[in-house]
Amino acid sequence: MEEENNIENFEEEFQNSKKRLYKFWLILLFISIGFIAVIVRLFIIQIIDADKYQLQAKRQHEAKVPLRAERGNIYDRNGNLVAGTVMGVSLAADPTILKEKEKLCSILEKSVGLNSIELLNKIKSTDGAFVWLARGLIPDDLIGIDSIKLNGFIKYIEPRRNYLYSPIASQIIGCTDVDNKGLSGIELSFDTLLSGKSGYMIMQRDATGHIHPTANLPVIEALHGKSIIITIDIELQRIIEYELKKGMERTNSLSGTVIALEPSSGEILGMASYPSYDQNDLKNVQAMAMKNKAITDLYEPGSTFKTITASAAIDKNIITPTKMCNGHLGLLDYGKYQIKDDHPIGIVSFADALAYSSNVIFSQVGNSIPDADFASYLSNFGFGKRWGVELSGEPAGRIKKAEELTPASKRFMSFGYGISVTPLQMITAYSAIANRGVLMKPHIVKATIDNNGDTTFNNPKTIRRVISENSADTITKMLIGVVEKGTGKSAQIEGYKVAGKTGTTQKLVNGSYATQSYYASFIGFFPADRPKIALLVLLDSPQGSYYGGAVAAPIFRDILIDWLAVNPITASEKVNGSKSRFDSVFVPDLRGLYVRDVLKIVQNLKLKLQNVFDTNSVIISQNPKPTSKIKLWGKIDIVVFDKSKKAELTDVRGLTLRRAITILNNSGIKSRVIGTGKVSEQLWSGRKSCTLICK
Amino acid sequence: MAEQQNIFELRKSPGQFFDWQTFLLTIMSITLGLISIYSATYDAGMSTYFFKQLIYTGVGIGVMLVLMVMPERWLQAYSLAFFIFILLLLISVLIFGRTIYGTKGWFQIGSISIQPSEFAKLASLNLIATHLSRKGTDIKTFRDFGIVLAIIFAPFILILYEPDFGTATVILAMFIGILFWTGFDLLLLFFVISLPIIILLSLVSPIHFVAAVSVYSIAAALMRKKIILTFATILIVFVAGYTSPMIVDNLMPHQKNRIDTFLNPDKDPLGKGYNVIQSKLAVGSGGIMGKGFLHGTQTQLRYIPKQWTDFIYCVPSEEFGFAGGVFVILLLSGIILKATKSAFDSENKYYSLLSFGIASVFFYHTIINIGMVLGLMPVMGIPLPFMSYGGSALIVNCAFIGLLLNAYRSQKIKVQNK
Repeated sequence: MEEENNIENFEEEFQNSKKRLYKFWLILLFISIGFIAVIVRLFIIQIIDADKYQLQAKRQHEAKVPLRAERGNIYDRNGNLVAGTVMGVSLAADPTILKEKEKLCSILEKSVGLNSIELLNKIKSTDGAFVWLARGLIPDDLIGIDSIKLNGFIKYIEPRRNYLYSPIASQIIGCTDVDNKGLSGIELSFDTLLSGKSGYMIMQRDATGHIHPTANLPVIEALHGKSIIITIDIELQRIIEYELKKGMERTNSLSGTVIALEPSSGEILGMASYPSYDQNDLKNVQAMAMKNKAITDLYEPGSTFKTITASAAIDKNIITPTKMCNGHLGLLDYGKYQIKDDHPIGIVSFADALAYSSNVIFSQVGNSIPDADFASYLSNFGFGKRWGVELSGEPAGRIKKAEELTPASKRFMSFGYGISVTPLQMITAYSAIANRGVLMKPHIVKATIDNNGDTTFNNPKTIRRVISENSADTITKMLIGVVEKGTGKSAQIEGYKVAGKTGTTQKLVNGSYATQSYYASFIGFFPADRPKIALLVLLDSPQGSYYGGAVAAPIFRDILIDWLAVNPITASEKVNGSKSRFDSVFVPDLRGLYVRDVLKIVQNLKLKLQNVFDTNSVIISQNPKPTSKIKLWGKIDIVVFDKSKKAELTDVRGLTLRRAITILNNSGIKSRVIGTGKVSEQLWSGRKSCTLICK
Repeated sequence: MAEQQNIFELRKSPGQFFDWQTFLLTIMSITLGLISIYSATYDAGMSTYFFKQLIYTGVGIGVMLVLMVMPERWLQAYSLAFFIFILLLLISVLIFGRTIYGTKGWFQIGSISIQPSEFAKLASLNLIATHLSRKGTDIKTFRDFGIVLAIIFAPFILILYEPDFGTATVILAMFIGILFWTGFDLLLLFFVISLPIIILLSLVSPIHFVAAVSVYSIAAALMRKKIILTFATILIVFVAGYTSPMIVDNLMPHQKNRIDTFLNPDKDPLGKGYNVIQSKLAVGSGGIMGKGFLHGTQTQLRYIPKQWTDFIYCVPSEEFGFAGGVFVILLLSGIILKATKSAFDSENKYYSLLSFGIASVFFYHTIINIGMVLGLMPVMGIPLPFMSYGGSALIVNCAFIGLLLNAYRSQKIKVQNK
């Protein structure tokens, strides 16, 4: 019985266990499939595809935050800030969030003066989440819009290039785009130097888009840009541009070019071509106006080249100034060519041949110079080669090589035809004569200043002696004669000796010489006995009178007279006094810099700063003045720009122009100048700019 | 002799009545969950989540211990009352409840919110187990099947109405588990499980549809059930799968979109798909060993919204890598296997059913949740057991563990009394 029971139990249990076993395996299978699927998936995501996901995650949560390098300043040779960086305000909108579009636009019209219809079109024309409304506004504009708190309205503080003298020297200094990248001029050719190297910081970006600094992520500090001191004298530059413009209007020329060079150093003191443009108003600029014709344009120099021919002939002892030459009454047949003079002369001295610019005589003199000598003088004077001045677009020009010279080409070349030169090459060659025969390399960058205030000077570079001192003096005397009695009479300046040469060149238009268009030019140096400045004036297609002596020489003269008025000839001495006594230091120019940046500079120079209250403000004036000397550990008083004290309407009437402009610049006021001399009238246009009328 | 010695030893150590393994697995899971919640809310001014969960853990362990020692007859005696109470809560939450993320499923009392739908799982399971363990009940009879169906569908409908689709499917998963465990016809069960899967697959592409129907047909044939029944289910599956894309095509565009992103979250990277894309990024970028505690970039930078609830699995996977992810799976599968073992071991039908129901619920929660995080499963609001933030879920899960411990205890006592 017990056994039977046992068997029954056993069978039941057996059936049960079979059923249970079956269920057990089924459940195990089910659970296993589930978990294995999940683990396999986990394996694929975390191990096989890990790299892909890690990269994606990194891209998502790592934000590369640029650390902006501050762009260096540009100063003129006297330490005036000509291009600086101020913090500007840029406005943008996110149209996807911005609801009250019309309201925003009308506020902006009222407070900043932007056109609300244009703004509205800008906002509505994009499908994206970002649109610039305005860039590079001056910080003052913020006052009206600081209180606008609309979702989708974005304000940025961005560095903005500020050209304190614009449009003065605009072609030299150039300009930058909205992202502060150099577009032209010094800004372009020294873009890398000025812009420095922006750094970056890797930060973490969270899901809401906020960025957090994280300790162990890399930081590459920004390397701020270096500042540049250019050789330009902004005061002279302003005069040049003013007189050039005046001359252009008088002569109705197509364009005009002026270069001023310091013969002893090759430093370009001023350089302008007309038409020009305003760097602070880039909207309506034509490409032509941005071109620095003094460097980029080639022309046939014409009679101004006779000086070069004469230098070669005299230096080679082929001729002397007193030697009599036959002018053939202005007409010389030479084979199939005919050489003519506009003003026929007979037999005159060689000096007079230059003074009266006789093509006939120069063709003969030129022809008497051996081919190899002629070619080597030309190349020694720097023709046919790029000078490599620190601005872009300089061509080499073309002169014939010795083996290419023929009697015919030599004859024409001796009075400036059949070659192509740049204005810069011409003025540099004249400077060599002014510098008693020694050619200096023309350049426009005087020095660079790094972040520590260390200045690296770009020292004047002697190229070679081209002609002997005696020859140079002889040529100078002949050039004085040109102005005193010859074609250059209108370049005379009372009380001073002026050396120079006129030039009138028929323009080569479509391969033949045009009878209606001319280049009128005048090149000379001043004062003739001890030249401080060599000056070239070149007009393209003047209307009416087209003689260089009639249209270019007066511009030459006016520039020098203006320059003398504001800058006594001795004043230019001070710039070169860079040697300091052991116990005294030159005062650096701190104006326009942030106090925080200046502290280190001053420390390095072994000086002290006084009146430091707010290190985040900008210095607008200092005492003692820049470039003056001060004892070691002397104190510099500074005045900073006080935002609360808005630029008062600074009255500069009665002051000399130079002083007036300095004061206005220091107060952050833009000025435009009409005339030269003392300020007689000051016309305000808003609080931040004014026009000075000078007499 | 050996057996006697065994019993003697059991009597000597009361610890033998306590299922240490299940308990430790649970504590470890909860601890890992707390660590993950801490990490997911650290430094964001939200550490309140961590402390709240810590309090819930205390309450949960209390509930667990109370349920562990509660006599079986008490558990059964109050099962109907508890169920009706929960049903009333489910009804009143539809009226007075607080809406969170479009679901009206919470009672707000002060700073505490209670989710009745979580308790519904416990109440339904306990009532079904109580009913089916009575003498003379058989799920195969129309009457008892109907009763079980009613116990399932009353809360199911109410929860669906909140609407909380995820939790509603949990109740269904539990139902299917119980049907399987009580010996319900396998073919029918297989059919019930397969039908929704095949409908979803046929929405993906015709190829998926053909493959799914083929697999179903072969599997059904292998079960060697009645031919007519087999064919009938295949036909239904085929027709349902074939017509569902057409029905979907006739839906409104926004409804279609919803189904589309449900199936392909990648298509909506900023909306529904955002969470899944981000959770996959977090998990994937964790690599083998992870980025270290509190160093998971995706977690710490809060790329996964509401990570401490449904997407908590990203945290251990990102910060502790594949090792951490697998460890979590092993812990939870350990609990599921322990629950399954309890179902097998319990001679008492009540405990056996209870255990199997619990195993089904945990399994479903775990697979769906982790699958969702890894982009294997569609996004359903189902928390990860023991780890996701949420008081109601944690307390109910602890209660389930309490019932498992109770089953173990009574099993041991029974063995001892023999």
